[in-house]
Amino acid sequence: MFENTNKEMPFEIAKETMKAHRLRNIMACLAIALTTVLITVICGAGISTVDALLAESDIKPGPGTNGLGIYGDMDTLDKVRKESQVEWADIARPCMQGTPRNKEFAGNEVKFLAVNQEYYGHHYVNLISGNYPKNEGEVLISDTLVKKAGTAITPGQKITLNLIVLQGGKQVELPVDMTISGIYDNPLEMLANYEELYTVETFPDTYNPELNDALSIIYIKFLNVTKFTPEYELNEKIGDICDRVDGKGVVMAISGDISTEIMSSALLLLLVMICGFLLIYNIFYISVVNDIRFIGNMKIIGMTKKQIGMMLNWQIRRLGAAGIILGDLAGTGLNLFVIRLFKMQGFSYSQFYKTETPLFLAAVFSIIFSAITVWISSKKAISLAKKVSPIEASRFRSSGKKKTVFAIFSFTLGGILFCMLFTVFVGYDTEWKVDRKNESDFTIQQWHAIQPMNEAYEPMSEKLVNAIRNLDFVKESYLFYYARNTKDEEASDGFYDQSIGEVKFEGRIKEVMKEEFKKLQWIEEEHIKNGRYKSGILGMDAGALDMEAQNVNILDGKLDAKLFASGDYLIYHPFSSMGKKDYLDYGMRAGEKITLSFWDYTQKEYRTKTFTVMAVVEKIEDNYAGEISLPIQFVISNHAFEEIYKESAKKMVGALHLNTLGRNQRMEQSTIEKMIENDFNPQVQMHSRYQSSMDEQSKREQGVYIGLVMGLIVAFIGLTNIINTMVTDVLSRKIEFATMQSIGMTKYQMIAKICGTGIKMVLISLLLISPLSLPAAKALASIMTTGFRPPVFAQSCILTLFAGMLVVYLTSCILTITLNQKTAVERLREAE
Amino acid sequence: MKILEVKELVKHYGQDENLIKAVDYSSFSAQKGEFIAIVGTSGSGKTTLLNLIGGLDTPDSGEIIIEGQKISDMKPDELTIFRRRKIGFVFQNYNLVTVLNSYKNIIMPVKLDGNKVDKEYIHQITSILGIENKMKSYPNQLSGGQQQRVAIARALSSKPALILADEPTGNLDSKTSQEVMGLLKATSREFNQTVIMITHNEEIAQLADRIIHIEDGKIVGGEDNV
Repeated sequence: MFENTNKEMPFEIAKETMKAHRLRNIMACLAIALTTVLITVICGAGISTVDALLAESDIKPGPGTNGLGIYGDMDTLDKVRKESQVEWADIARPCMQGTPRNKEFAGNEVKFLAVNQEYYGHHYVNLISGNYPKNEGEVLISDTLVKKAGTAITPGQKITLNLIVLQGGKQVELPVDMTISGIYDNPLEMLANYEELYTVETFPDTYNPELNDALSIIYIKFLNVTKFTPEYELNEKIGDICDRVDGKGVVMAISGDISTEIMSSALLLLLVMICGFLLIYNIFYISVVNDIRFIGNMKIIGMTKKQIGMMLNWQIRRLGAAGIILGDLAGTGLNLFVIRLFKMQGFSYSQFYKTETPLFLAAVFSIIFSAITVWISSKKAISLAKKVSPIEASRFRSSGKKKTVFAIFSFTLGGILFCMLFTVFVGYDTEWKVDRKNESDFTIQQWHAIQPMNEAYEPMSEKLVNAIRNLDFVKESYLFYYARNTKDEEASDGFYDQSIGEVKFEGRIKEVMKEEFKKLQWIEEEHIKNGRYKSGILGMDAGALDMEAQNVNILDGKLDAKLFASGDYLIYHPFSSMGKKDYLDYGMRAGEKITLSFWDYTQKEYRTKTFTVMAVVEKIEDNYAGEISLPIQFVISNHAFEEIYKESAKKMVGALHLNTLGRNQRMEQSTIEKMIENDFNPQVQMHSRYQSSMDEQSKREQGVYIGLVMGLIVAFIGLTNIINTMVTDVLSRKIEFATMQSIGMTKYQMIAKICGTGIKMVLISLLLISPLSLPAAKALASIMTTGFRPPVFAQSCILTLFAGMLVVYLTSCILTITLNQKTAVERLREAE
Repeated sequence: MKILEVKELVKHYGQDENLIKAVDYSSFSAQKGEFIAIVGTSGSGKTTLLNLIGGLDTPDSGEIIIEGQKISDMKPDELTIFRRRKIGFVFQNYNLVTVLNSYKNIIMPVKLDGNKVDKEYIHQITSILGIENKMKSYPNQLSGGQQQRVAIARALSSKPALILADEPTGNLDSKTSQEVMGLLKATSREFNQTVIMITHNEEIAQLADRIIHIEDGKIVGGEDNV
């Protein structure tokens, strides 16, 4: 008897009452659209970043195995193939170390590899034209290298490769005439300056037998391993197999660790959904409260809970759909800029950002998350409407406190997000960013001196150094040496160490290091071998001391370039400072005399020298400029360095800093770049203040645009809640205002009265925004390394206050004008 | 035939010294087609009594039986549907849906129930009430009297067992009040409809077949149909 499924009447009433709620509809649509814009942008940023990270992890040499492999020779390959957990294995045998000295290859790292036939299929080396090499006289070249060469290259064409081979232990140039057998579609196109040439696997045995597979990599495809297999698992597998087959080392896996990015995006998404929830909830809740008597009447006439729900849901679905579609489109448009900005960042994966898939996925995900937000936001309001009885509805009095609290909370949250975004993006300190990476106009760096690489160290050539120093636009130049004590053939786990020196572990340094090891909780034996302690030893031009001083804090002593130039002084940079006061209790002190015995591995002897410690310094936090940086511990003058390491010093040039006349920085940059390219040493790279400025300026422009837009949206969401609360409050007190006007309240007094409520909400919010947004803005600036500028933060708080006050005042004026379109008497009569 | 029975109905609010006995062991019954006026001063409990009969409020004790069904045993949704089918309400302030025209307001209970509208019946009601040419008008286009007539038509549209009218002439002038009361009585006769009307106006009450007096929640006269 009591079944009821009738929808027609509720939908009809829903349709008709929707037309009567124009203001509510606009507010709801706007709120949903704004929330959706933000959700779309966050989804876009998150998905595109995850996509880029995964692409980066895919794009590495040996793409068929994500670069997973071990070092070994042909015998090792046979053993690996017999392992049960191996699906397949291929060998890539470098025919020489480094890049062939061909003009066409300048500016690129070009690996000339001898591979087995199966390698091509396994690693996506697909032919565009011609054939795979069949003999030692044939070479396969990539389509991207053809483009870079700039000349027409076709299969069958002759090419002379200028190889550097080992003959009698020495490196000699060997031109080898070859025929281009074919051109392949480069699967590693995304690696900007990296190319691979291929020939048959026996080539090194004929042309460079002394190389002896020192650099050969066996790429291994394991069964049941995907790109999502965790890094530790991959490294465990590869380590095991290396041990079993007596491999020479492993090529460590770097899987795309996306957990941080997913967590950050999820957190931000949650924040925005909360922001949106507060606003949308308030709008629907206020709407239901205003209509509570109407809903009560419907129940009296006979509308059931279910039918009430149908009626309200009909309206909410339509408002939700309109808002979500609008917001999704706007957000997708904004995403194009956001992804472009990310592409310009200096992360290793920045180049892998693309728009197509992320934009589509972001649009889809944002629809889902926005719909969830709308659904959750409207649930409470619908629930109230459904459960209120006719009697309760007739007696329902909303205190208004709930919606005021929500409005304050929403504005506070919006204000915090606005201050954060404004401070970070508008306050993007380009000068600070440039200074923290560049202490001079141009830095020519031997990268292998400062980081391990999976190829042997190739010294920066003296010829290049001198040529650059003698350029006519160079005002001053400073040379830096990095002591190197590792024999390059002794690769450790597939990696060749960065430049590290050795001193005899005795005397004062032994005392100091024992204390430092204790503080750092290091195991002494891991850093001491054959009675020698490994550490960074830097030789520096005395003239560069002032420049380096900008990047360090002095814990003890004083820096004096004249004294330093004598060669009798040493600057000490401890591994563990952990605060000046603590360190000076146990560590090295300025003024001490210290005798160090430096190990020269080429001559197999110690060279001893006594220094006076000029100063004890520590690196300024979050600063990447300057050569005095861990693991550098001992800093001596170039004069002293050359005295100690003699001829070996020439192969230990780690960096060359230049300050130029600066008349035409673009020309200066391109001149130096060309010289480095033509030197064919890919381990030598340059960075400059000029390039950094250009990059940072461009990032700033993009960032300001995006930051302002997003900041305005979040602030607007918060403001909308204030407006909505003020409007509904005033409309529900129409009679009260009409009564007050009928007994003498003027329009200006009415504006002031309405303003008062709004200003209270804004001021309470601001009391919360200022203290909460400061640490948040600092944290975000730190994460995004944009620099934190207190004046910009103060600006953001002032803007928030100003925006709030302005909106409150304008809303008060508009409401007063709107209400006064009818006289007080007319409004009172209406109420009767 | 008894259409309504109210037995020992109690509704109290508050406690101890704040206890208000809105309805205090009240009992009465109504026959089919009877027109009853419940009269009492302000605060006597007549609105509470009407709300209890209409299932809008729940009694603390006692029984209400409409057409043989005990409404006190029903769940809220069952009560709503019962109310839609068996009870028509006429309010002092009409309570029409402002966004629907007169016709849609009138047929609303029928449509909510998913039933087919008896157009002939509706025409008959509206003719008697004199609003047949106002079907396309919206409530804000009608006078107070016309709106109340639409409300009466809505109350009758589902052919309910009972019409409950809460001060139906409260917002009308005396002339219109007389007109509306006349129409209410006429439709009650025409459709053999039981009407229970609340009023504080003794003059209006005289038009009823029976007057029940209520004082301090107690029925003090007219409870039996003599």
